[in-house]
Amino acid sequence: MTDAIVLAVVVPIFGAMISLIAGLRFERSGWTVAALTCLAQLGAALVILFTVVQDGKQRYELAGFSPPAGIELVADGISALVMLLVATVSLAVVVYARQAGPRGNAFYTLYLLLAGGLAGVTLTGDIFNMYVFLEITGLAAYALVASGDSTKSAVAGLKYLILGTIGASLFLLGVGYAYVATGTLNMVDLSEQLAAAGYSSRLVLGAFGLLVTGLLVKVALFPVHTWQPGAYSNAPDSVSVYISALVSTVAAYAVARVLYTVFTPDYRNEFVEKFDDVGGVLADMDGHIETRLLANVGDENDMFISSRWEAKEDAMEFFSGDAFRETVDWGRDVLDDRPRHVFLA
Amino acid sequence: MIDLLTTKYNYVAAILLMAGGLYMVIGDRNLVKKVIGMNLFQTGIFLFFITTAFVDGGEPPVIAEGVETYVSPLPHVLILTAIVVGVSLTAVALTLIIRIYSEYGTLREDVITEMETDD
Repeated sequence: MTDAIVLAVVVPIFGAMISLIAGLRFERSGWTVAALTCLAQLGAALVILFTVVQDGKQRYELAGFSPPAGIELVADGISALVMLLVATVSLAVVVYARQAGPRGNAFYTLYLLLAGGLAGVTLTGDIFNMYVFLEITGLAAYALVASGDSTKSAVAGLKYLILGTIGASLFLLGVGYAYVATGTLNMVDLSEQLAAAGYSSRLVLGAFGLLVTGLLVKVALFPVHTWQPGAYSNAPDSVSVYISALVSTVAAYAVARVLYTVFTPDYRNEFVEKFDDVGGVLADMDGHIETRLLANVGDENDMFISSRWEAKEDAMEFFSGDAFRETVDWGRDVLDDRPRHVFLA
Repeated sequence: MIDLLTTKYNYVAAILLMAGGLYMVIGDRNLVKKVIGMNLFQTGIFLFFITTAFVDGGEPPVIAEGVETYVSPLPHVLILTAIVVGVSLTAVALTLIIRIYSEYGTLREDVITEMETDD
């Protein structure tokens, strides 16, 4: 049932179209369409969560193009939970909006677009795709803020738009830097390629700074928060509830994605810790004198393990053992095929 | 310095566009000019992306006989999407500006702030 992943994003976007078209004939049909769509999205979110809990991480290749060339949607433990949060709050606010308004199909069209954009940011596994969904979220949110009755709401909406666009543009520039450094846009692939490009590279550091700064504008972290008070207080009540509950939250989730999925520089420490464990085992072996881990001063990810043995036979027995092969396989995974073997007699 | 200007002028132009755009967004009081600045800022980023796609001696990325080197098509496609996003943003921004003008009768940010605090 991995189809639920794509449905959670596509259903609200189609719902938005239906709400717009239905509005031409039936003036008050927006609420019904929005309620049904949000219910369907909640169903999809629940299916995603149950599938992830049972079978682990789920991937969905869009249009059958396999990553890293194609775009994929990914649901793992965190994104399935955030998706459930998005779907639940969407449905709850629709229920509230029946009493509180605003009414009319234009509102519900934007509302569903926002829900679809948030689902997209949550589930996407492609960094440029994330930019596009951030902008869909942003566009719908700007227009919703400005839909308030007070004269101030348009000013608050425009302020939000200008700051939000600058933030998203910085994010786009960061995507550009990361793409120039690696030649890929898929998040999982990026994490490997960025590690290969080296975290001391200025291009990679620049990409990191721009991606995080851009997203922090959307999160409204001090000192780039100035759009938030006006946007919250001048928007219609239902919109305030919705954007304060979800828009910054999902942006914060995106920051976490960029920090933990895309940029993963602490592999080195993990490797060094593991090496200490291995060193402990080695110390007890027959014929072993000493083993050391040496690092290149110029590139700290370039490491060298030197091991001294009393006799060649003792060393060969260890190298042909299962424990050694497992350790090397693990090292390949972590260090992106970096371990090289040189045997010195 | 001369070397930078003669060989990497695209990047210099991209930075100038971005910096100029950002300055207009921050420094100008007129709301329409702020939106123009926002567009300039984005245009700088577009130029940066398109420049990175360039391959020396490359042909446009349409398969043709006798061509061996093509420029990278992916940044072009990304920027096509980003341009569409930018146009939509400009449309929403101008709609809001029309509404602000009809309510306040001015496009100057400082005058609007003054009128808001007077309310």
